[in-house]
Order: sequence, then structure tokens, then C-alpha cells
Amino acid sequence: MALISLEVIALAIPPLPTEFYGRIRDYNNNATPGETVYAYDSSGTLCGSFTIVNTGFYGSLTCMGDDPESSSDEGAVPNENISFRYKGGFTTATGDVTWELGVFKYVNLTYPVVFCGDVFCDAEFENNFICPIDCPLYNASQNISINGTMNITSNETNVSAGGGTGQGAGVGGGGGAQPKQINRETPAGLQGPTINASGMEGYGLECKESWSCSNWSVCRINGYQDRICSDSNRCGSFEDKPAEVQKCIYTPTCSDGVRNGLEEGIDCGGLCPPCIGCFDGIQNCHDDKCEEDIDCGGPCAPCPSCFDGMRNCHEGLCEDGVDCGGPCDAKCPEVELPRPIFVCKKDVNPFSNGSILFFMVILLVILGDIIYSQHRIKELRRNKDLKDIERIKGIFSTRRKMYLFILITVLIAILLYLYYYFFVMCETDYKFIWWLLLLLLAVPAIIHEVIRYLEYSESKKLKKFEDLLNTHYKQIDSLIKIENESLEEMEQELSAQLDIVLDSLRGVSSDECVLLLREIYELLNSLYIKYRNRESPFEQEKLLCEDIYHLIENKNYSASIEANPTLKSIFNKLKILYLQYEEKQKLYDELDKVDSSRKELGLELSGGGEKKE
Amino acid sequence: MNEQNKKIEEIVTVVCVSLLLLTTMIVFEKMINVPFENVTGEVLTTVRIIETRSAYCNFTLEAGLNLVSFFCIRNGAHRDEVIENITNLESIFEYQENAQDRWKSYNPSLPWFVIQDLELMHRTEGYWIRMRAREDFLTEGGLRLINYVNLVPGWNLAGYPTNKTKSVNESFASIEGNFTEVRAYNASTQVFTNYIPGVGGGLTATTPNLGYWINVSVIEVWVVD
Repeated sequence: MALISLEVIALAIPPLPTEFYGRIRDYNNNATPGETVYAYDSSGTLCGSFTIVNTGFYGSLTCMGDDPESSSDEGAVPNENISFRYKGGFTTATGDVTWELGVFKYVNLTYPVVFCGDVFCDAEFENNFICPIDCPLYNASQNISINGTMNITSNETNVSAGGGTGQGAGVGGGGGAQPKQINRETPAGLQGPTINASGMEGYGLECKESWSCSNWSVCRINGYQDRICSDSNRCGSFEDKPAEVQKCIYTPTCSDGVRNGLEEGIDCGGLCPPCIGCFDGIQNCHDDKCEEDIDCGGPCAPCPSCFDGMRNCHEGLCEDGVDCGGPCDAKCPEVELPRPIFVCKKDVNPFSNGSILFFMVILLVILGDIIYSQHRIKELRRNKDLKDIERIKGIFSTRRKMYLFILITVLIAILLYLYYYFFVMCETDYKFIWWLLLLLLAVPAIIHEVIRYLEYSESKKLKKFEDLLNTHYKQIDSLIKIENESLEEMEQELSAQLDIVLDSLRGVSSDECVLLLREIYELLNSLYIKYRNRESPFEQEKLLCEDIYHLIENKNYSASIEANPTLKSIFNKLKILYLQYEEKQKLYDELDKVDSSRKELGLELSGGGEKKE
Repeated sequence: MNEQNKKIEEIVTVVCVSLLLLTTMIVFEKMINVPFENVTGEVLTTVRIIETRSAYCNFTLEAGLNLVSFFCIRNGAHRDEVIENITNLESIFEYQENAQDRWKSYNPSLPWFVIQDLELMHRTEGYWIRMRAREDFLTEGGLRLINYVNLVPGWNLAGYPTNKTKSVNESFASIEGNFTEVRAYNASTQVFTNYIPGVGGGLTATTPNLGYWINVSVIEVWVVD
């Protein structure tokens, strides 16, 4: 009923998942940690996964449910069958695999999917009786007598007394498919006979399996190789049966009918014979046409000629121009080569003369400035004597100076280098001097613009800080409000308790402790009035704090407090109240600090604005 | 290499060095940032108000599913500390909207090999508890006056870490405008009740010991006091 309600009403809430757990086997072996099990709903949507931690077990695997409000399929719906995948393939699942809201289900998994004829004898699901193809050599129900002889009723004819296989080779003689009675000695592997052990589960005797296997087959293209194993004792059990299938690394061959390894086509190219085509270096025929020359014409690109509109090589010679000179009859027209604009007399490679040194010096100067600026910024951060805003302004100013220094150094370096390059090292046309003059004029303009940009970016950052401070101020303010609400509740409670206690202590009104408590009581009441009138309770709180401190610190009061349990409880609460006031005081201090920073920053920003205008 | 190529190489070198220097500037711009502490000094954004009063979580767990929260446990309490006294417990589920594995679960009757990912419990979280039979739950712990429950966009299974019953308007005032729906589950009637801002619904008050499904549109902090 609960589940139905959940389904009907809780439409959009994430539905509780189903948790699956159990054993997991991989080719009769326990699945190994690190492998992942995936769960899918009936429409193939992945609803969960689990990476195995304990050998042979998985879980709990969370299979998510579907959100019925959305059109997409996020997971399973109640009563939907869940399938499990492992190592990319499906598994055989035993147990309840239906999805239910918030239920844990025990489901055992076997990989790969077990079916008769898969050339693999699964020890849990198959035996010779169910699937003789996969599990040969064991096919009988047998009655074994105490004296060590067996009565075997065989449905097949491939049982022989000596352990061999083959039609009609049994001791009882006679081939054919009819069931027959066989009397034979207990197999050598049986240890200690029991009475009337029969059926698929084995002889019912302790039989020691003795498996021998053929050699592994050649590694198949699917990455697996197999072999056939047989139990010479023919116990019919498969407890110790070695694996008959294993993974292997397939070595591609030039005759496997698949393009693999380094092959460029199916069984050709790479280490195989070259593939026939337009790039095999042989004049041959393919694609129903024949090449006119080596790898050109016919099915390939046209062969080069003196009329193809391209400059290329053919007949052993190369053209001097497009379709002229070389192997072509047409002669190429003479072309005048462009003369260089200027010629450098010396080697101007910056890595082979002093230029690289010049750049290194510039870089070192810049690096020195960066390090100095960093140091200065650190010093500003450390210096607690400066006001916060002054510190931040100092940091901004140092950084701005650093940027300007780097920029100016870079610009001067470029100017100097260009002058050195064009007018000292190379013989040049003097029209380049106009370029240099233009650059010289541009440099101050660039610097001016950069300064403007840095100032703008600085004011933007200060604006951000102002926003940050405002947010911080609001946060502290709201925290104080929350704190006040909490305090109000405590103060009222204390006031009520004090009222009762002071009533009972009317007779001892001269006691100093009682007088102090009465003062505290009055202060608490006046605080309550302040709260009600929405006035600042700051002064009253300060006085209250002093009184509570006095009460806590004075040892003379402790005897009278200890004597009265109600008074003691009030005393403890007053201690908490005192701590709360201290917390609140910290908040007020922080609020004042942020407020003064805020005001100062506001002034700075408005001053900056006027300056700009 | 002809002379013209040499010149081109030279100019390219100059441009590259300039770009290198400018890149250095940009990198330092990113590196030398000014933290908030430089402006305000000490950063103070939260207030720790420690409640010394002890408190009891005392409620009934119905047979079947229960949507609950534990206001008196500490955040990060081990599950065994919280559920040790529940004899008819079948399973517990916790939901985290943003987590890779959204559902964490625990079932005390599972065999050793099952990895159970619900280890720690928090007073700010809600829990689905499936019970085999009805049972009274009682545990002693502490009460904190102000709690901050972090909410992420989407459905959140939140705890209600207070012992006070409040009207929904008062209770969800801190996330007003940013939540679209709240749902609670009544284990005895096996019915959900909800509250939609501006529309209303069957949920009129938030009560201690219940968990709440809260759907928010943005990252929010639900202040529970």
C-alpha cells in the first residue's frame, strides 16, 4: 500500500532505488575486483553500476528509478526486469531481477550467458545430463553398490568402461541409442563407496577428478583460444575442471580476411603484399580500368604532360615553368627576379650576435622590477599599521607602477632594436626612418592609453570591493539580528526565573549577591523594553555584561549560589548569556570595521570620479 | 637562406620577444590578486552559537517507509551511533542531488561482502527509513539553535534540525522566492503532503523529526533555528 501511494503521489520526487547484490562468476571463476557490473532496464537504459571490491561478489548496486514526470527514460519502473552486463556481455542472472522501490535483492550473476552449445561447460547450470555437448563424458545415473561395482543406465552410447568415449564402446557392448544396463567396476577415482548415489549431482561417492586437457588452440580472431579437457575418472563433477576458454592476443595474418595490424587494406599493405591501387608504384589494372603509366591515368589521376596547366615532372625531366622548359617543347619566358629592398652586410641572426644578450638584459631588468614589486606588495600586506584601504591602494599603485615600467622598457627595447637593426647593421633605404619616427610618436600615446586603462581597471576593482564590503556588512547585520532573536528568548527565560527566585529571597534583600541579581533582573527587563521599542540595546547589554562578570568573578557569591539549585541553574545560564554577548560584541566590532572601510572606500571612489570629470 | 628571409626572421624574433614580455605581464596580473582580507582584515561570516542544552529525539517509526530527520544528532555521526537502538530496521536511504552516486543506503541484514555506502549521518539530512514493524525511537543528543542546510538546484532530501514546530511561511522564509515545492511524507497514513509557494497545499507546518523534500531553483542555504 505504501509503495502504491509513493508511486501515485510522489511523481516528481526521485524514486527510491532497488539495490542488487550477490555472487558473480566469470567462466566458472570468481569475478575479480576492479571489474564493473552494469544494470540496464528493459529498454536498455543504464540504471546503475558497481565496481567489484570483494572477489566473487558484487553490491550493493544501486539501480535508479525513472522519473515519471519527465518524458526521458532515467531508469526502471516497478516490476520491470533488470539485466546485468559484465565485461561488455550479458550475464545469466538467478534471483528476482524485477525492479521495486527501495528494496534490496539478492541476484547471482554468471558470465557469459549460459546456453547449451556454447562450447563451455558451466559448473553451476550445466552437466552432461542437461547438455552433453558442452559437458561430455558424464551422462549417466548410476547405482553403486558397496562391493564396488556400478549399475549404469545410459541414455547415450558414448560411455566406455575405461574412460574413453565413442559410440558403442561400453563394456556392456552394443551400440545404438536405446537405454542400456551397464555393469562395471567402480572408477579408479572413487574413494569410499556409498549406497545408492545417483542423479546429476554425481555418483554420490567421493570421486577425485583427474583432468587432462588438449593443447590450447590457435588464438582466434575474437581474442579467445580453447581446448578440451576430460576427466579420466569421469566423476561427473566439475569442481576442479580447468578453464577451457581463455583470452589470448591474436596475431594478425595476411590471410585472415580482416584488415588488422599494420594492413592498409584487407590482407594487404603494411607487412603484407602491397595493396593494388594508385599508390603501389606499379602500372596495373584495378577498378575495371588500367593505368596509362605508373599510378596515373585510367582509374588514377591523369598523367602529367606539357598540356596539363601545371608545373610538374615527366619523361625523366622537370618543367622550368607551367608546361614549358624541361621535357616540353615550349620555352619559358625570362622573368626578372625581384631585388631585395635592402641588404644586410653583417650576420643579423640574433642568436649568433649580441642581440640575444640585449634581450636577456631587458628581461632581467623586468624580472628585477617584478620581484621588487612583489616584495613591496608583501610588505604592504604585512603592515598592519596602515589602514585597510590605504593598504589596498598601495598594492594597486605598486602593481600599476610595475606594469608601466615593464611596458615602457619593452617599448624602448623594441625602438632601440629596430634602430640598431635598420640603421646600424644593415644598409637600408631611408624610407624606414619614417616608420621609426611614427613608432616614436606612437609610444607616448600607447603609454597614455595604458595608464588610462590601468586607472579604469583599478577603479573597477575598488567598486567590486565596495560591493563585497556591502554584502559583508549586510551578512554581519543579519547575523546580529539572528543573534538578538536568540538572546531575547534566553533573556526572557532568565528574567522569568529571576523573578521567581528574587520573590523567594525577599527576606534577604541586604545580601550583595541578591542585590546584584536584582540589578541584573532590572537590566534584563529594560533590555526587553528596548527590544520592544526597537531601540539599540547596546548600552544595557554592556551594563549587564559588567554585572554578570562581577557575579562570575566574585568568589564570595559562590557559597550562596551553590546552596540554591535554582540560583545555580540561573548562574550557569548567565554564564552562557555572557559568552553570547561576547560573540555579539565581536560581531559589532567587525561591523564597525567594515562600515568604516566602506565609508572610506566610498569617499575614495567619489573623489576619483570627480577627478576624472 | 637569402637576405630577405633573414630580415623576416629578425622581425619575427622581435615580435615574439615582445609577445613573451606581454604574456609575462598578463600572467602576473592573474598571480598577484588581492584577497578580501586585505580590505577587511579578519573575515567573519558565520557565528557559532553553541547550545549546551541536551535534547531528545523521540518519535515513532511506522512499519514500512518513513521520511525522517534527527535534529539531536551531530553532523557526521556514525550510523551505528544513531540506529543502534532500532531493532526492526530494514534499510535506510539518503539522497544527494549533486553526487555521482545519488542514493546511499544501509541494510543491517546484508552479508559481509556487500559494500554499504551510508556510513555517516547528519542532522541536516533527511532519511527514508524502511521498518519491518512499528517501533518507538528515542535517542539523546544536543540541540543547536541555528542550522544552515545547504540546498542545491533540484530536489533535496533535507533534515529539519530543530525541535520547534513552525508554519511553512516562517520556516522557509530564508529561501523564499527560490524554492518551488516542499513535500513531507506521513508514514502512518502513507500519504505525501506538499506546499507550493503562492498556491499552498496540505503541508501547513514543519514539524521536528520529519524529513522534507525541497525543490529549489538556485543554490540556497535554508536557515533553521
